Amino acid sequence: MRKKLLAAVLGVSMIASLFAGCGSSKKSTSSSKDSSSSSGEVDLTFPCIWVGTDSKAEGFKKIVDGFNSENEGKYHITIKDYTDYDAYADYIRTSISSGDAPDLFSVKTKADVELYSQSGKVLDLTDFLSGDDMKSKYSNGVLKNEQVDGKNYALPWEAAVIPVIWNGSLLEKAGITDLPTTTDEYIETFDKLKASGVSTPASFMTASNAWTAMLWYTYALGEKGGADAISGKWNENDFVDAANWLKEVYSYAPSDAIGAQAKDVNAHFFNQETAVYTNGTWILSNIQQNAADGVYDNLKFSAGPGNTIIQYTQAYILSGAVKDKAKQKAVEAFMTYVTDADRLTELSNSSGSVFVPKENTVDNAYVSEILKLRDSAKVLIPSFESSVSTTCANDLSPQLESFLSGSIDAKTFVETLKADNEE
Amino acid sequence: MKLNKEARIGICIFLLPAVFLFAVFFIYPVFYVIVRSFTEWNGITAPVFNGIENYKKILSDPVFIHSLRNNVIWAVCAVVVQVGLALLMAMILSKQPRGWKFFRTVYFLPQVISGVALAAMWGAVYNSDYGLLNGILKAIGLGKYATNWLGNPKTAFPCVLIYGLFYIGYYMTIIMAGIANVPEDYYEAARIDGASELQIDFYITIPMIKSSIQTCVLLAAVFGLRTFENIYLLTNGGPANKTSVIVLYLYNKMRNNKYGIANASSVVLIMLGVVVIVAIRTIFAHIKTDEEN
Repeated sequence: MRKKLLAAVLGVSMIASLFAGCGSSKKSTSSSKDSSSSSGEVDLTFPCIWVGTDSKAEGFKKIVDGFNSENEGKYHITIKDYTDYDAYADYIRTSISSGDAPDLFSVKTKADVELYSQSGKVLDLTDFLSGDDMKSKYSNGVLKNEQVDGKNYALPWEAAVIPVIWNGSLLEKAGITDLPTTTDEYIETFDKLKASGVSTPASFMTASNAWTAMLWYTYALGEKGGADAISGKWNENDFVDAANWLKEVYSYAPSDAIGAQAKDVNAHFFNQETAVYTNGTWILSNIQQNAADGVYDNLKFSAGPGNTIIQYTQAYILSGAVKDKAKQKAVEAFMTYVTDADRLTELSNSSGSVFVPKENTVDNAYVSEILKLRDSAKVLIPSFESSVSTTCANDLSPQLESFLSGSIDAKTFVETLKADNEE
Repeated sequence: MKLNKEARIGICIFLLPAVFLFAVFFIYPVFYVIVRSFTEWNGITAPVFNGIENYKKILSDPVFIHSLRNNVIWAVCAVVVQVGLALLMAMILSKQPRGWKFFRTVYFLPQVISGVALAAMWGAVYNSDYGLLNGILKAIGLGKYATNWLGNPKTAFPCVLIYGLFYIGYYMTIIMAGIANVPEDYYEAARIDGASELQIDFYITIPMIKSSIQTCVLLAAVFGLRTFENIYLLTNGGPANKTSVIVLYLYNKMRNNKYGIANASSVVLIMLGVVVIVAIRTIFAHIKTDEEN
């Protein structure tokens, strides 16, 4: 009998031991608490990418700590660190798919907002955002533009404002005083830079989301088709012309452009191997910290061809707290807090990021200059990536590589992307 | 031996964890994947049955066909080159030449190094700008052959393949363990009969380690079919999907929220794996050693 009992106990122990360690061990930057503790404090979990080495990490932590401190005993935000953006996107998708949407989370594109809003597991923020307090924080029409089927499911938060960034020292060496304003002038400028000894003046990458190439393509489309060139009906001729210009830009890029990642593009510009680069304002702190001596101090900025600046919402905050009224109040309180103009200004100054809600005057001179360029731009266009379907955005890299390596022509390149977008 | 009731209950209790885990983490997911492969599903809303539409789509998708081709090439090369080299090195090192322990460690060392670190290293080797390979070519006067190895559609897959097949330590260790189990008497008898070292290798060692070789061939083929991280880390399937493989293809379909198509490609991969395993087992079953004859 004792042997049987021992065997049973061992069997149960083995089963139990197999499950040991299966629980979540995700690192939290704040002590974990129950969603509603015995003291009545409502706890919101926020899996977050603005942590670690992200340029907003420090400033965002300060905002969350401030919120927790001001609402002690009432609301509490627990941040869960996610430093890998792709892993974060997978986690959010899986969580929502399995019916366990986080209390707060962020997504990058409106396509994601549209997708997740179909699940019925994302909080409808329409009433909250149409209130006078929140409405006054946004420029006219912004919240309406972000609606899905007439409803706001997401708080538009971080904005991307993307200018063309030049190495002023290399421009001076090439005797260039006036920055180019058209696609043709860009090529002429690249020629001058090349003649001055910068053999590969243009930054360019095709791997992952083909970020730099995608931005060049967006500028060219902005010049040719205006603000609605991508989000409206595609004019195939404009897209083909823009693709051919993109191929010209590629001919001025370093030899590793096909297959290059963001780190490669950054390294080339930071080490003065390329003279022109395009990225959002958030890259400024990275340039300041990592570029060769003198690069940051001599940066120059311009709009892209056709006086085009790329601008769009690149981070939305959503909530999965659809059934818990107490949590909804906490979510609204946090969203109100995180869109406060003073706090956003402080965050902008510390990170270089800009935001969709109105900010006060930004101290950073470069960011201010870029915002002035935006305000005077002839065309404000959302990036290609943010304007097309997920399939189209993800297919840009391989199609671009096929096009640049001569496997397909510009027309096929455009037709393939168009089909992807319409799928 | 007939088991009594108590013994049977005891066996069941001890088998239960393994059976439970196998059912939960293998049988159920495979069944789920098969069912979902017949649906159009974005991972968020309810799946909609669409028959064999997903299979039609992937079989007419040149990227899928190219990925499948790359997988087959990878698996064949892994079996022929990787296991072949591992066999050769294992047989040499088993003779315990001078420094054999050092080389055994050196060959096995990459197995304990992170794949991310290895990918970063090979990325640096192949880099067109500062890469070791182009540096060597330029140093020996062959600079005209320098290229963007991972960005050139013609060279990218061979480069990734070389990186993937370079490490033979895992299979070499399995084969060396097999060789160590061959009774010394066989070798002594062969030497007394005047057999050369080459004859001993071919007529004693290799037949006696057939099961170790079969294990390596099986593992190499299966690893070749489900290879992912090497390619994801080094090229992410680029340029222009030239280095894509099926697992990467289905991963990209999931990124596009096309879970039905991703599941259909998983089913094809599972079927291919079953065919390969059965084929390898059948082939080895027909290769009889003298002892078995």
